[in-house]
Amino acid sequence: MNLTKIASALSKGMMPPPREIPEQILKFGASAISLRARATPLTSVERVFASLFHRQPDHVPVTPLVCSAARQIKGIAFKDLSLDGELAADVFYSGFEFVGGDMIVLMLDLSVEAADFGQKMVYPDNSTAHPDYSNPVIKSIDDYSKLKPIKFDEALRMQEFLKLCRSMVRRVGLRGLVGGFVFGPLGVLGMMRGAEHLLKDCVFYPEKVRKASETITQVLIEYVQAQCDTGIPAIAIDTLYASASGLPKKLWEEIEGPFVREISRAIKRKKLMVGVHNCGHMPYADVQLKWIEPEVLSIAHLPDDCHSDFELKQKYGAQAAIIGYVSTALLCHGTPQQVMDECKRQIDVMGKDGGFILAPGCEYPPNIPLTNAFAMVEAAKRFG
Amino acid sequence: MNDAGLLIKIKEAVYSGNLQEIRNIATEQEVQLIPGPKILEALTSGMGMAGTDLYKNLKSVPEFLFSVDTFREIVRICNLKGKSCGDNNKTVLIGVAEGEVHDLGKNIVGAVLEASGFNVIDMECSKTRDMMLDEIGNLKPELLALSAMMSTCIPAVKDTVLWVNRMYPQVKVIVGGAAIDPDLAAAVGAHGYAENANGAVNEANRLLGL
Repeated sequence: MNLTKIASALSKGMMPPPREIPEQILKFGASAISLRARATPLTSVERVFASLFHRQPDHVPVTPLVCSAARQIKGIAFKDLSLDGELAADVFYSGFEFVGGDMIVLMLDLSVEAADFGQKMVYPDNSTAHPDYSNPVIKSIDDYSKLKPIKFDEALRMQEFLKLCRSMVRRVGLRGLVGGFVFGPLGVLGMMRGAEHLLKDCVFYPEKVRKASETITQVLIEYVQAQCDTGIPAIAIDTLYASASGLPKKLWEEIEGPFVREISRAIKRKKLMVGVHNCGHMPYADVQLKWIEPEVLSIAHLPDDCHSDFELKQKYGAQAAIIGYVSTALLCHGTPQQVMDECKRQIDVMGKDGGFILAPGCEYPPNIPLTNAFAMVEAAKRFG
Repeated sequence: MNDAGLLIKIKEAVYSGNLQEIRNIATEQEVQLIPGPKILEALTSGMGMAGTDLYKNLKSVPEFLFSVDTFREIVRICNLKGKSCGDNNKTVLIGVAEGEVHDLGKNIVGAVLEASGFNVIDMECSKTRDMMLDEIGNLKPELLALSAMMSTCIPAVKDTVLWVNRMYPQVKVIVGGAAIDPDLAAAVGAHGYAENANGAVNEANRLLGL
């Protein structure tokens, strides 16, 4: 336990790296918080902390994942959100202040890393930044081996993301938990090759894909370590391809498994917590937990080996806290009452004894009103 | 080898996504003598099996993509494009919503509809609402199939469906993709919703009375 590091963070009003504190002390602290929750309301950090250690908080913690949707509050454009870390912090912070919630995950867009590897980008006015798929970095099989590590200091979008992390840590302080974000190496490759080509290449040319993944992972490790140094307490790794929307399970384990393990371990060496985010159809929870050993699992759909929410909590709830998983389609078309009903249903099934954080399955839809985000926060307070 | 044997080989090659095998078969002289509709029937059967396996999670997405490639290859070699094996002869215009960049799901649905006997016209990349309306006016499809993976595209889906319903009320619209569920499909005014490729075929058949 590095007491100096812990004291230094707390003196600045920031969360210390959670894993600097021994597991037994963390569990004891979570139990004490849970006991106190019976008498007085908890702070957001206490609520999340109790839930992550599978203790009953005063109510289920909630994060409506209002990310780029919060740009509506201050009228910030998608492009500025993507390219300017301070403006991005304005967006995320105004979402936190305006809508509420206990936790913020800094999901910006999925092309931050790919853009720095040279992928030509499109920054639309009314939608999330995305690669120009007509001009991919990896145009043919041979291009995988041409991919070279980039100089991290010169990686403009990743550097802006670090500014976002630093700014959010400073602004939020101990009023909520701020999580970083990184797209896994196959996700980054998908942005530079196109999903359809990448999926086929993984079958026919796994060695070439693996080699490129290795190159990307070197940079991603540097990236997550730099995120850790900004003072955030946790980072989510996005493993989209570990789902039925992506690769067969065994192939994912062979290609991406070892690399995301390295990324996870790099985060853990910095004493931070690790999360997994996967919004694919039928995610492979079993192998992601095996390779990444995360503290939290954020999903949009039931895993391939679960038939119900109840089974999800029973099977995986002890290994990781579940974050999820209100449908984003429901958020688009549902009334606040319908959203609250669904939140209540999920809380009733998965909220007991902690280990559950209410959230959408993926980022709150960026172009819809924020009403249903308020409904989620309200539902957690009312039914949690 | 007799026709029946060749047709079984074609079906199996498509089902297993064996591109080389289908190229070998397609160059055999006997294949040139088999009527196109018979070949398409075998292709449909192979793609149907592959689609069912994908739906049941017995086949992965890349494995299914190989079946699609194999299917398209023999259609190309034998010049079978647009020659329906079924008796529906209906035209489906398929595309992604304005602003959408993901087309994997649309490609899969398009291939399965094509293999099910529909004349599928793929708009390929994202088109504006007005461009889609022009395409409908020119091509006169019976069905428009629209996909959206990103929730940012939902307003465009709604707008497109609204105008298709206004200007071409005879055209049925089905929507699908990760950003959409059945309730949202109904809310945007679509006639049908498909969760996957097999569902798209069932919805198309239902809406077109096939």
